[in-house]
Amino acid sequence: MFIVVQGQGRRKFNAMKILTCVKQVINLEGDIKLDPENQWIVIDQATDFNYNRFDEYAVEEAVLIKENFKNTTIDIISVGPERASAAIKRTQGMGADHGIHILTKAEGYISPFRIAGWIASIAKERHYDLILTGVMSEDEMQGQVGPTIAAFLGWPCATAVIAEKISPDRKSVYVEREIEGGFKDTLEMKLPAVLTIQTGINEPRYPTLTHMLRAKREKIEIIDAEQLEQPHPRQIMVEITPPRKMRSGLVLNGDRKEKAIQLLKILNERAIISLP
Amino acid sequence: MGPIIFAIAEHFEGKIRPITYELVACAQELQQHHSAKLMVIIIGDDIETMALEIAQTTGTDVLALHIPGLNSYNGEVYSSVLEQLIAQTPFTYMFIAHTTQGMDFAPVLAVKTDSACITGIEGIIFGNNRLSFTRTVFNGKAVAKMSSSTDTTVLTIQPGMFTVQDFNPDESGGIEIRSLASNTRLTHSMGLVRSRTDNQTITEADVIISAGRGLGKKENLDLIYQLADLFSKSAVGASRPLCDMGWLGYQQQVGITGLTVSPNLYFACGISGAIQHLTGIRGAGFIVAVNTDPNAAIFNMSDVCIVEDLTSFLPVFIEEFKNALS
Ligand SMILES: Cc1cc2nc3c(=O)[nH]c(=O)nc-3n(C[C@H](O)[C@H](O)[C@H](O)COP(=O)(O)OP(=O)(O)OC[C@H]3O[C@@H](n4cnc5c(N)ncnc54)[C@H](O)[C@@H]3O)c2cc1C
Ligand SMILES: Nc1ncnc2c1ncn2[C@@H]1O[C@H](COP(=O)(O)O)[C@@H](O)[C@H]1O
Repeated sequence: MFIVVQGQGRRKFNAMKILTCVKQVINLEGDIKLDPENQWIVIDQATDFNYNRFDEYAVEEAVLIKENFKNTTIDIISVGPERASAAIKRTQGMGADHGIHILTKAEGYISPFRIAGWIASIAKERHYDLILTGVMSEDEMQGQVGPTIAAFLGWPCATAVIAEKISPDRKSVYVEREIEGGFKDTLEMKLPAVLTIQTGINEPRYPTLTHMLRAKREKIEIIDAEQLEQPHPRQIMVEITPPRKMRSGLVLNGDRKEKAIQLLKILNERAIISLP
Repeated sequence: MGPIIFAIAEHFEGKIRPITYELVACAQELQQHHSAKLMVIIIGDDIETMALEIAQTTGTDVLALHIPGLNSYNGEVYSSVLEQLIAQTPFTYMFIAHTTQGMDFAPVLAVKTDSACITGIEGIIFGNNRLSFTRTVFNGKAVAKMSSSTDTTVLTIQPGMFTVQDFNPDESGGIEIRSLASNTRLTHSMGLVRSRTDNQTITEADVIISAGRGLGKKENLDLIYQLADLFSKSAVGASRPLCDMGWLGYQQQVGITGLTVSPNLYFACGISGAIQHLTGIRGAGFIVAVNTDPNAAIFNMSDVCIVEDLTSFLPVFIEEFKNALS
């Protein structure tokens, strides 16, 4: 009896190959300082980093698919300076298999065309069935890298995905996209495809100790960004400035009690409340 | 023919979405620095009446791409018909809504047309002989000024940033209708499904007390409810993460993918002020924010800023409020 091996030949039956994109970003609850040339923010010893919270949902979704389709492998890819490997390690703690780090030299803005171009060039050679990204990065907030990868590869793409189900033959995926006004859009796409995962689709798990220990032994594959083709960036960041104030923004002073009393007075004057 | 600017209309269930007019307003602002003809494109099956409405309201020419059977947005159709069109009619700038629809196809179209793609723009700046576009970065803690290094640029426009004056055109714009076939190879639309019924309590409330991730623990919701109880006609709202975690329902979510609210008082507790949240509260009469981070973006949108830990400030405020009432 023959077992028909589908897809790219060397894969085991029922296996999926997933690539998930993750980014390491600075912790945005802390203070951020702009550099004197207004080109980027100051990153120094004190800077605290997180892995992009939006990407946790993409990684969790990949792990859920892996639990459903045995023999699935999850590759994680991140573009960034040396520190970005911490984000990859964390995803391995959640159950991702292999880490790929496209190493860039400096901190600073990189056009999404570059990032997506690099990721697409790696993905092209490795025959993935599915690429997952977060819905956006917390620092750049562009929502571009996912659909741009898809366009470079000529794959279909669905953004803001809040549910997905891969067909048993692994040839297509049913997705629900969140849209405005309390509706969702439902569609089916051929695989391979790119999905950008919206928050709330799942509950991202915490890394486990066993996975973290295994991750420690695993080597992350490092690819020097300079060795790759350099896609035209297409856009330039001219400068970065502090935000504008949209409202008067009266800052209350004093202790808590004093602030509370001031606020009550203001609300009363504005007739938002009426105190006796 | 000279340079052309395209604006892609957004419509939903037979109605033009207000963002379409914001795109026109924004494109007209750009025209002050870039001399080009503006044309609105509308894509879909039953679009003639909407095309007419846009042409009459704005005085802009409208190109209606009639696609039989296309009853709602399909990313593959949008990017392929626009790619075909652009092959015949090159553009300099293309304006698309920064919505879940526009964000879905804008980057794809940029790749297909070798354009730059700048998303979520909130302003246009002309200086040093070049156009640049501002957008929020770092969760509202900074603004980036972006410009394009290619001849063509795809822009997505943050809703609510470009105010629509009365267009008052001298005459209606012209309408051209072209029929095109939609052949999707890779995606198959299966229709729209209602996922939430809008919550009257929150949209009609005079006072909204909203909680964000800064709440820390679910038990602290009690403080939010206690506070809400002290106001009349009040409701409890939330930022998205609280709904994602299931602490509150999605029908309480305020923001771009939640509800747009305009209460007399919006009281934001432990909310950072992401642009997606702020979009939902621009119409609020008065905004008070409590946040431990003095640089949180919410304070740029607030009338009163209280830099405090909500778990220690709210009990004091509730107490003082009760005292004042009695
Ligand atoms: C396509 C898309 C659509 C979206 N739609 C929406 C939407 O409709 N609505 C929405 O809200 N979001 C939406 N988001 C998410 C949005 O980008 C933000 O992630 C979200 O608004 C952040 O919520 P938050 O402010 O509660 O959390 P955070 O950004 O984590 O902020 C928490 C804040 O609490 C403060 N804090 C911490 N502890 C305390 C304390 N003890 N006391 C006081 N303050 C404290 C912190 O300083 C911080 O500022 C959307 C995102 C995308 C990509
Ligand atoms: N430097 C990066 N390395 C890996 N993935 C990235 C990088 N930047 C963005 N992404 C992915 O693309 C998504 C959207 O990012 P953005 O287009 O910057 O908003 C993120 O949620 C990540 O999944």
